[in-house]
Amino acid sequence: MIRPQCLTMSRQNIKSIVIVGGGTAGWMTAAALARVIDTRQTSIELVESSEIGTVGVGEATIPAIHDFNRRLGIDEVEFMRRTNATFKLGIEFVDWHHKGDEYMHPFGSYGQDLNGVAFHHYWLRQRQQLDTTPFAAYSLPHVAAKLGRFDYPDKDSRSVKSTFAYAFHFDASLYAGYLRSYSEKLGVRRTEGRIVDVRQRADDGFIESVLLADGGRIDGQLFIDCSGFRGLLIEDTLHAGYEDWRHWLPCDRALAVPGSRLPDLPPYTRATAHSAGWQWRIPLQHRTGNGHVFSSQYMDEDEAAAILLDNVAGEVLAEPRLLRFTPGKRKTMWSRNCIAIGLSGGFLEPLESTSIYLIQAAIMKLIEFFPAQAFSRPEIDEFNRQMSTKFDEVRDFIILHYKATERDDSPFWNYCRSMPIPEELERRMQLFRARGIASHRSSELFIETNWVSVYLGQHVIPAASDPRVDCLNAATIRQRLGDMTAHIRKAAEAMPTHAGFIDRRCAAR
Amino acid sequence: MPALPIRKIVILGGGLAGWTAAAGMSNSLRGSGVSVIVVDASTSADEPLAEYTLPATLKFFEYLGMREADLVRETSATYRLGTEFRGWPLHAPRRLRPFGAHGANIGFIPFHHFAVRARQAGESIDFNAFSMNAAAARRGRFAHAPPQSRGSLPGLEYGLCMDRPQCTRLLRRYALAAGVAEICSPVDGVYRRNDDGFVESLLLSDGNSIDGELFIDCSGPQALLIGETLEIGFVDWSASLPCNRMLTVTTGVDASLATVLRCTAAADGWMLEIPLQQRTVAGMLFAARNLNEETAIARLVTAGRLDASLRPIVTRFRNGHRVRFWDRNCIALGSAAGSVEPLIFSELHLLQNGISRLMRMFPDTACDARVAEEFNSETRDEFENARDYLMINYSVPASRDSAFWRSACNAPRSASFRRKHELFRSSGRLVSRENELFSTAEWAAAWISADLWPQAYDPLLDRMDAAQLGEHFSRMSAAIDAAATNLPTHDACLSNLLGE
Repeated sequence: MIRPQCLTMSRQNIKSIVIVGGGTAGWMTAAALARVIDTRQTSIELVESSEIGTVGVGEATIPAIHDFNRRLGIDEVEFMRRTNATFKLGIEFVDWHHKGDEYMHPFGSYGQDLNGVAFHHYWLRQRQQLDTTPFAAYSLPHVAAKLGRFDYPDKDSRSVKSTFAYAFHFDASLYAGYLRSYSEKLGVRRTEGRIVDVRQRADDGFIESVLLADGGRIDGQLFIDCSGFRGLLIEDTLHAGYEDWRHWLPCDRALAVPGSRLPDLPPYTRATAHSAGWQWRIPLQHRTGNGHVFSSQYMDEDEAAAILLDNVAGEVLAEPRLLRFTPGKRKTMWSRNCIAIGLSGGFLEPLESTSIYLIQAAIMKLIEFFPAQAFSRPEIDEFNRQMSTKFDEVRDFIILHYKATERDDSPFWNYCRSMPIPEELERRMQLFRARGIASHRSSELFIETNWVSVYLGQHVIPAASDPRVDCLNAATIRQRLGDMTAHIRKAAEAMPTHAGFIDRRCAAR
Repeated sequence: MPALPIRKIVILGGGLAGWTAAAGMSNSLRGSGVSVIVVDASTSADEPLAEYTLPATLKFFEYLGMREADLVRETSATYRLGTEFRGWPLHAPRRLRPFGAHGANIGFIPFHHFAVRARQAGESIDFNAFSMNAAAARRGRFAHAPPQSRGSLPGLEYGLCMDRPQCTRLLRRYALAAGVAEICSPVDGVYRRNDDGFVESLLLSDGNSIDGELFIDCSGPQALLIGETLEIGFVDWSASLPCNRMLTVTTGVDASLATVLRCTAAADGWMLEIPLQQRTVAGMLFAARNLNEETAIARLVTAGRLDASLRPIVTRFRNGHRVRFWDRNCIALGSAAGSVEPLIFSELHLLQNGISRLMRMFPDTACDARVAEEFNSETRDEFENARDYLMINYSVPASRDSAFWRSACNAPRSASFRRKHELFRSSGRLVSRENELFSTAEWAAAWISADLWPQAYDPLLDRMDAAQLGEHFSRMSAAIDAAATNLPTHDACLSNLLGE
C-alpha cells in the first residue's frame, strides 16, 4: 500500500544528535531519545567529563516519574534495586507556617467528593462546626506515611486504596548510571572529554560542532545542552539569557551531605524550614540524603553548615558539599539547533521535588516537537512557550510555601512573608481565600488536590466554602466524613511497613 | 452588606437557556432549601427549532438523571455521528467530519502523521477510512455498544439532533417537578441596589416585583440584565465571522438514516439539515448585510428544502460574547452571554458548561468579584476556543464569487487561531495546552477535513517501517469497514430503543 519511504522523503531528518553533559538530565535524555530514534539512522552521542562532578545526591521524585519509566519500559523492581530506591508517598513540611507546625503534601486525594462538591468544602464546613478532625486524616497516603507503611495502590476505583499514587527516592548518580547502560545498549555512544570550544555556522549561528580538550571534534545537527547551571551551549555560546527569580525565591545555595540510613525508612521526603531556608531529608535504602537550601543574602556558609549538621539524624558520612545556583529560567530554552534540558534550562529549588519532573517534561516536549534539519519556527516557538509556562507554574507553587507564613523570627522570613508575588499566584491565593476555589490550568502539573493540600497546610483558609454543602444534612455529613477517616485508618494500618516491603520486594543487592 | 447564603435565584427567560439553567441548578441545589424561580418574559419566541450536540453534551442530561431513551423519545432525537459538509471546501461534494478518533496512535505519535506521510508518498488516502464513526455514518448505521468481537476497535461516539422546543419543554417539566417556580410575565423594569448596583428585583408588567439574590440572565441576545441593565459591553466578532441570522423550519422530509448534521455551503452563507424522527429541520445561516431575510427564505425554497407555504423562524444573533459574563450578582448564560455560530454544535453545549462552572463557583450574596473574574476568564477562554475551531471552516480557500464568502474567508483571524494554524500547517503539531473543547485528535481531524493538510509529518515516524505500518492500518480500516457493515441501521436502533 505504501511505497518505501526513501523515495519520498519530503524533508531531511536529523542524522546526528549530540548531548553535552552526563548526569541525570543527560542520561535521561539519551535514554528517552534512544527509545524513539533508530540509532543506526540517527547517531546519539553523549559527551561528558568525569572531571566535572554532577549535582545528583539523592533525588526525590513525584509520581510523574512513572510515565517516564513506563515509556522506557523500565522494570520498576529492577530499577529500585539498582538505585537503592525507596517509596515516597508525599512531602512533609515542618515549621513552615510557624515553628512547631507541620503538614504533608501527599500524593493522593482527600476524602470523597459528595454531590459533585469537592471534599475540602465539607471539611471546611465541619471545621466551622468546631469539628477538630485534621484534614490529614482524610488522606490515605498521609496516614500511611506517618505510620511508616506502604503498599501498592489498587486499580479498582471503589477501593480507598485507589486514592493515592507513589513516587521514589533514589540515588541520582546510580539512576544516571542505570540509564547510561540502558542507553548504550540502544546504541548511544559516550565520549569522555572536556569541551573547550564550540563552532557555529557562519550564516545563522547554528552549532556545528564541539571541540574537546584532547583535540577531538564532535559534529552534530541537534545539540542538547545538559551541561548544568552554566549552560555551556545555550548561554555561553548562544546567549539565550536568564530570568532571575531571586526576588521571589531568595534561596541560592545548597549544602548537601549524606547521612546513615534511617532505620525505619520513612516513606516520605521531609522539608524542615530553618531561619534562612530549609533542609531536606531523603531516605534511601543505604543512606539518607540531607541538604540545607539557604539564602546567601541572609546566612553565611558556616552557619548553614552548622545548622545542617545539627539536624542530621544518625551518622554524617561525608563533608558537606556546596552548590551555588540562581533560581530562574533560561529565557529561550530552545535556541537555533540547541535545546537546554535540566539545570541549563532553569533552576527551581527541590522543595516540591520537581527537578526530575522538569527534565522529563522537557524531554517529552522535545520528542513531541522533534525537529527535522529544517527546524521550523512555529514548533520551536510552541516548545518554548509551553516549557516557559511549565517553569512559571512550578515556580508559583513553590513561592506559595514561602509567602503563606506567619514566621517572623528572622529577616529572611520577614522578607518572604511580605514580598510581592507573581500576579497570577496572588490572584489564585485570593480566590482560594475568598471561596475555597483552587484555580489551575487543565494542563498544569499541580491540580486542585495539590493546591488545596498546600493552601490548607500553610493555613490559607477560605472565608467561605461552597454553599451547596448544605444540601446534605449535618448528621449525614458527620457520618460520611466519620466513615471516611475510619476506612482510611483501617486501610493504612493493614499495609505492611515500608522497610519490610522494601526488604521483601526490592532490596538493593 | 454581610455575605449570607443565597436563598433565592431568579432566572430571566423561559427558553432553552432558562430551563436548562433551572434544571441544572435545581438538581445541584436539591435539598438546600434554595428557591429557583423562572420568569418567562417570552423572550424566546424566535429560538431556532433544533439543537445538535457534541457527545459531551449528553453527560449533562445524565447528571440530571434522565435516561437516554427518554431523552431521545421526548425530543424526537436522532443519533449524530458527526457533520457532513457539502461543497465545503468548494471542490468536495461531500466531506464528513466524524466525532471520535481516527486510527490509533503509533507509539506516542498521533495517527494523523501516518496519513500525512502516506499522502506525501503519493497515496490517495481516505482519512475517514480509519474512523469507526465515519464508517457507520456512511451506511446510516448505529449501535450503542462497541462492535462485537472486534477487540481493538473503538466504539461509536455520538451526540444528538433534537427538537429544540421539545427539549425546552422536557427541561421545564423536569425543573417544575424539582420545585422550580414559574411566572409568565413581561418584565417592565429592573431595580438595582443604590450602593453597589446589584440587581434587587424584576418589576413585572402586572406591577408585582420578583426579588432575588442571584439573577441569571437567559433572556437571549437582548441580554436584558447583563446588557441593557448592567451595561456590560459586547466583544463583537462580526468582522471575522459575519453570519448573524439563522432561519429554521420544520419539513416533512424523513431523514431517519442520516446520523449526521449536514452543512451545505451556499452562495451567501450555508444551509443545514438537522435530521429528527420522521422529519427534518432545514435551515440557513447568512449575514444580514449580504442578504435580506426574504431572499434567504427564497433561497431555501429554491434549494428544495421547504414548501413555499412554510414560514421559517428567524433567529438573530451576533458572533461574540459579553465583556463579562458574570457582573455583580448577575450571570448571563446562553445567547445572552454570547454566540458562536452554530456550525458544529448549537447553543446547548456552552450553556451547559456555563451552568456547571457556575455551580462549581456558586457564590454567596456578596458575589465576590474575584470568583466572578475566575468564571469570566474560564468562560472567555472557552468562547475563544470555540471560535478558533469554527474559524477552520472559514479558512478553506473559497473561490465563490460572492460578497459573503469573500468577506468571510479574507477576514482577519485571531492571534490564537493563527498560531494554531501556522503550527499545524508547517508541522502537523497541535497546541494542547489550553482548556480545550476539542481534543488534539479532533483538531487534527478538523484541519484535515477542511483539506488543510500539514506540509510535514513527525520525523520520528520515519523510524517505523512504512510497509508494515501501512499493512497494519489497512487491516484496521478493513476491520472498521466490516464492523460497520454488521451494525444495525440507525432506524432499527431507534425503533428498538423506543420500543416500537
